[in-house]
Amino acid sequence: MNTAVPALTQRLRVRENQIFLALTIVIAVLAGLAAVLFTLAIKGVSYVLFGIAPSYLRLLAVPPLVSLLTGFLLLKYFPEVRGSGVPQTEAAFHLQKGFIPGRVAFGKFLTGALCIGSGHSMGREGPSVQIGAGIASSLGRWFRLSPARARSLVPVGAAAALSAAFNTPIAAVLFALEEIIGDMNAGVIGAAVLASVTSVIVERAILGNQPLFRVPQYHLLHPAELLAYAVLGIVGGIVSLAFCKGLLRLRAFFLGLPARTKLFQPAVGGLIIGVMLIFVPQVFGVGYEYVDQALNNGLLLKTLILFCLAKLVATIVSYASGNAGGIFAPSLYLGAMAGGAVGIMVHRVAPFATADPGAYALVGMGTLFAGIIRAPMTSVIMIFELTQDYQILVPLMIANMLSFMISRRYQPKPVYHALLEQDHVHLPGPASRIAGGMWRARDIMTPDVPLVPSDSSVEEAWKLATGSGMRCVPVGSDQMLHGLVTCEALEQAVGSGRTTELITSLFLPEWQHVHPDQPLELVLERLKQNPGILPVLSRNPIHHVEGFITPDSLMQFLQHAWQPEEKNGG
Amino acid sequence: MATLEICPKCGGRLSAGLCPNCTEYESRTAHRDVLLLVLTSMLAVGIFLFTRAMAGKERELDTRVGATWFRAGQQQLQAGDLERTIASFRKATASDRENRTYSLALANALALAGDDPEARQILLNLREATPEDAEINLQLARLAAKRGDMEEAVRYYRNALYGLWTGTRIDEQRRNVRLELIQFLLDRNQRNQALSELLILTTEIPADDTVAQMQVAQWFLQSGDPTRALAHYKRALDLERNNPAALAGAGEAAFQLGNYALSERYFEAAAARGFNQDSTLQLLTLAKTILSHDPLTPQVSQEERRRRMLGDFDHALERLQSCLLGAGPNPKGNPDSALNELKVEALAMRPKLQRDARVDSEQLRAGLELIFRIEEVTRKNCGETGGLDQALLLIGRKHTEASR
Repeated sequence: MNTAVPALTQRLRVRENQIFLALTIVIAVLAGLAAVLFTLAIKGVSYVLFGIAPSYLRLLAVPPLVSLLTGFLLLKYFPEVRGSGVPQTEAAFHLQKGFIPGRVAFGKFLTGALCIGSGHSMGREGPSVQIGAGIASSLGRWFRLSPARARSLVPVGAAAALSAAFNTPIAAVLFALEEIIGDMNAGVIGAAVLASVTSVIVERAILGNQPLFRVPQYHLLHPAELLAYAVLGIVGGIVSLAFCKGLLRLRAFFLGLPARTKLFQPAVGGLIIGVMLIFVPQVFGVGYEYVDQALNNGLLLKTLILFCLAKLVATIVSYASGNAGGIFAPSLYLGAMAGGAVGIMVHRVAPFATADPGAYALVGMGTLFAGIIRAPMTSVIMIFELTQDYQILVPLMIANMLSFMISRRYQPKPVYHALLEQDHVHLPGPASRIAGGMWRARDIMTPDVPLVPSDSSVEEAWKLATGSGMRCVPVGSDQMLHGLVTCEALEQAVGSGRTTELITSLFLPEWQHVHPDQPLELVLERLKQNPGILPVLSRNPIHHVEGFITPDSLMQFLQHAWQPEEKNGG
Repeated sequence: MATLEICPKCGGRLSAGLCPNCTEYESRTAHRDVLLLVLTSMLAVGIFLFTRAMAGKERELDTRVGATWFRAGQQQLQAGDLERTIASFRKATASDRENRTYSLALANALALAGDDPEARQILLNLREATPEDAEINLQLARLAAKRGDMEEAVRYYRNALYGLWTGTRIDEQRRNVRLELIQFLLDRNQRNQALSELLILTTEIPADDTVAQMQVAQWFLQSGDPTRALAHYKRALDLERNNPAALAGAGEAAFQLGNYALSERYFEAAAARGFNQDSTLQLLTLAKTILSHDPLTPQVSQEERRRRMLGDFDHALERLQSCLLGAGPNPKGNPDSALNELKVEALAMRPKLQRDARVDSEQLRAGLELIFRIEEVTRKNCGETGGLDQALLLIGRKHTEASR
């Protein structure tokens, strides 16, 4: 046998490994620099737009005017860069083989700097993640890496950018694994660590070794204090829930408005923020200086509560109205305020010695992060990295877990995934990601079922349905599924003389679907709940039909699947 | 069976195990990758330099903004507007986080406004970077002192003493810290610690500074070291012989040493120079009473000694009897057995003293010792009295301690 083929393959693989390694470092440097430049740009924009001591008029006028400009840019040129950037990066990694268009990084940088610099209550970490991932994806394409390699560069770029933006290299790696990839055992971990460390070195070489916050010394003064941290976990869970629900509802409201209003929606958000800035200027932008104050016991109870509520509203408004910016920093801000408030109250009523409210603010940051972002491991390690104190781990884990559990109980979808679903993108769940060698919906489906056009009358649909021999017909157009109608409903409608009615009036109110990568087990479960047909829809866009699964297609698949086995057995 | 020799890269036929297309392709792409790597690296270097320049510019801007807010804060502080001062100093600190002066000013303003926990946190953060900074340690010591945390206050005061000071008047700054520490220790009745600091201070204060000498002398007095106190008052008087406060202080030191004659002289000199504080005049009166009633005063005739002894004895006996009768406050409400025993002892001694025309020194000391015991017990049982009883107590104490 000729050994040249494997030798050549091996040689190509080795070369690609070397390029990947070199590219990891280059990406880390570029993503780190982009994150630093992004931070500087936000500050620069803020100085230019507001000066040192802005007047009320300026505070009121700047956010809506800038949002009008960014609204135009987001609508016309960069529709993919609204909001945080983390969900978009996740979608690119899972659904688009890591493909992020080159303009995304630039667009995110520009609109993000303008939105956050003009006072919108949003964070810079999410946008940095998208910028870093965008740079990585573009470089992967330029170097013509294999699709798998190019895809694995996305979390590498994300980790590098987050590491530079938040100055916590270990947490950045965990974030990339836990949130972007959704798998803590991902093979890309080595490259992510290398990138994260390289990028933080670059960041420190430019901005110096100053930490983001003056972190107080942490002490657990009494074992009973753990109960107080449990209370903080519950409070954190409730605030997380309020934030997620509020954000999703207001965003759904904005998304439901007519398309012609899209250009002005960010400006409406800007106007609300402008009014808020007059009364509570502390909600401006990222707001880490107030987090710092809360950590150092610099805020009174009523101030902490006011800031927490104002930031919650401001961030929801800024994000839901379609501006560009993240929720990473706001979740830390909310956590610091809520934690500080709980700390002060505990300090007042506890019959035992308790730590300073600053310590609670610190734990609160992790608690809200776990509740909102739903990355509990990242939140623990991030706060640990900030404090570098083992003592904080147990209280942090207690508070984080409670907050995480409460938030998950009442808002089962993580906020990033729910935001994507509002944009008609369904990310694969853990089952779909790990079902390596299993049969999936794409193996079972048949693409041959025709769609009944949405503008058909009941009579037309009835004719088509009787010819198909199916219990239920899919309705839609241009390969986009709009709904399902049962033949039973059609028959009743025809029988009662409603033949001229539109078919859409007979849509089933609820029906199940699957995505092509979902496993057979889920297919069977969902097929059981539908009337004889299970649509297989694309993850992005969600209504695009890939095929259908019917009992017949399932039987055919099973016969084919077992044939070779039977032959072998025979 | 012959293996199909297909190139995994381009799908072309292999020749002798090599793909003519891909060998060229591979070499071409390798060159391209290296070139791209070099180009992206150069791009990264360029962006790095640009970012560093931008960061430098922004830092300059931050510095200017920080300075503006700091100046505004200082003006607001002078105008007494603490709330706005703190807000301005906060903005200064947020703009220029590396500037320690701003952080220190913010901590001081917060401490002035009573927000000690945040002030302390800021100082602790500053101290983490420069644990040897004397100014930060001093502020931390003051906050600890305000909080009543003795141990922490002393530790930070000492850190400040041995820390690094900036400026041209380092000795003076260090001395002032020690003065502050001593005052703190004396306020909390830590005399031994205060004494040890005072002894170091005596080597630091200038010999020609009257005020400093008087201050040290006063602290020695408070610390229970009247000998050194008197020495420093004398040094102050050498510099300003008519300083009435120094004269009064020296009188008090001499009084505490039991040198009532010297004390009387100093007090009188102070009074003659217009120093008429009540406490000083009371001590002068007491010194005069002691001097006129002490039977062991040198250069006093035997007759006078006997007269004084009898007079003092009768007064003490009278005090004892009135105490026994309940004239004075008796917390127990019944005669103490010690009082009765003393009465028996006194009544036995009284005729002996009256009978002997010449009272020898042994008898005098025995009599004084009994008077001292009577005064002590009556004071304990029937409360303090002023005037002669206090004088007798001091006379008795002086001679009893001397004989021991």
